[in-house]
Amino acid sequence: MAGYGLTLVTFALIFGALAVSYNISLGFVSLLSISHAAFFAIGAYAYAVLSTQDGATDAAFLQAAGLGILLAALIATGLGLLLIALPEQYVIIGTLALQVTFTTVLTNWTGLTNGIQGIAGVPAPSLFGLTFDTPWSQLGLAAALVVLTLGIAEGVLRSPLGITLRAARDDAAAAAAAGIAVQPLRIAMFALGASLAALAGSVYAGVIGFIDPGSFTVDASIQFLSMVVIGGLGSPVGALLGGVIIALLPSILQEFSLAMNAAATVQQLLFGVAMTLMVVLRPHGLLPERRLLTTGEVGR
Amino acid sequence: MTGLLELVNISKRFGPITACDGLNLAFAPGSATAIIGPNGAGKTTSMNLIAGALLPDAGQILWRGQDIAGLPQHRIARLGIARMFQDLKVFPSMTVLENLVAGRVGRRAAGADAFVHAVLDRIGLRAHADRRCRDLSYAERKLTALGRVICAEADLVMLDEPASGLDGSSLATVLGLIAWLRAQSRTLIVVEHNLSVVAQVTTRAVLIEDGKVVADGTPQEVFGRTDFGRIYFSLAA
Repeated sequence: MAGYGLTLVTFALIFGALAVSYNISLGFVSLLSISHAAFFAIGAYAYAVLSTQDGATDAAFLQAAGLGILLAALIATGLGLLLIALPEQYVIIGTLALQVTFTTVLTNWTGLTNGIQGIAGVPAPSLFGLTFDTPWSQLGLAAALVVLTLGIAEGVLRSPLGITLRAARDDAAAAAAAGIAVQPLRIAMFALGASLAALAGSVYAGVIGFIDPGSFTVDASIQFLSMVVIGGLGSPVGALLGGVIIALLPSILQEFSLAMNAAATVQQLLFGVAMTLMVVLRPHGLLPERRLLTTGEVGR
Repeated sequence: MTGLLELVNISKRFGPITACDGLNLAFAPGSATAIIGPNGAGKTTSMNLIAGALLPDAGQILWRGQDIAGLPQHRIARLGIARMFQDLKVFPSMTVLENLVAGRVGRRAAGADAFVHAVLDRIGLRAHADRRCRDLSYAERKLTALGRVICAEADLVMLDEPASGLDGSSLATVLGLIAWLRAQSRTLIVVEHNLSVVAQVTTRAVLIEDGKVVADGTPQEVFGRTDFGRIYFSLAA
């Protein structure tokens, strides 16, 4: 039972880190993409494919993570260049198209992905000579992922870039008039968020041991979106909280003696209710974004 | 006149509407010019063209002799051209202080912190410095928008209707800020409907009608033209 609890928390942390990565594009620069599950899948499949071929070596994890990060960054940059100058609704449609296409590719490129059968027997990740094959070590790995992702997100926000990101998000025309290169900045944040999602995907695949296309669909992207909105758009810690809460929700519902399939249904209903309530009652999320500067921090 | 900025034969059409029709204007360093005219005359379009928000259909926009038409907006801003929008466009989720700091992203001068504090005092919003702009009144947002433009320390400052919608006290602050800009030898272009304000803060008025310059002189000279009422107030001749 203790092992089960640790595993639950491990996955909650992985999804928390994923929500933090999503918030970098969605919350920092208001780029509403519906393709975050695709970027998550890139990292997951990169690790699953390479590790089942090469075994659980340090090199397999590092190569897979590196490949996933690079691929996700390239795809996000390419898509960003195509879509970024268009109105928001086209960005949504374009990223949704990527998501749907990606799920189709995962399902049909059976030579690489094994299609809907998925890839089983994905070995536990190995890094720096350590194999993360126990619940505690996997919890540690997930915690390290959270620290890294959160550190990068907070670091970006606390750097001088933070002010320019918020300005670009709040009003693109005014930001450009203030000398901010809005579109390159938005593409860069999209690519950064996608890269960190891929890294989370590699960790996820190694911890869960089995992946199939069903984990990386449009529904998953919408679920990740709800994590960020409920946690706090623009707030890295808020997104982490949102990710953890939503990842734990099915297990919490099971504690109330709901069968797994009933829990999943109730979870969907709760998402809808929670999203509606958040938008109406707490539009800035559970932990809204903080001020970047106060008068005490800017010296005279 | 040798201009810091020169518009050379600039034309801009929006479908059947001609917003700028062969516009020729030069702005000397340190000058303060009002662009006036009835609604739809092409005043804000001229500002949008200078700032790079619009591309001219024809003509050149020369900044220190270099054609800047077609450059991205942020690069034009970084050359030393700042603007305050008619609809303010403050960054609503950001505080007054953060808005001012954002104004300095493209600046070339040093001493950001001290200058930001000086501007904060000048706009009279020190007590509200840590409040988000979405929670401010219209006048406070206008002062923040003007403060953000001042923080850029740009050579050319364009102000679109800086006096509109303000009470007497806020208007006095705005006039003081414009005087401060002039004392710093900034070049000003002001679009303004309040002719009393035009007379106070500028030394040159350019009257535009249908995208063409119809009068160019001191405010008194332009206001005194016999056709001024017909053009500006659409009065019968």
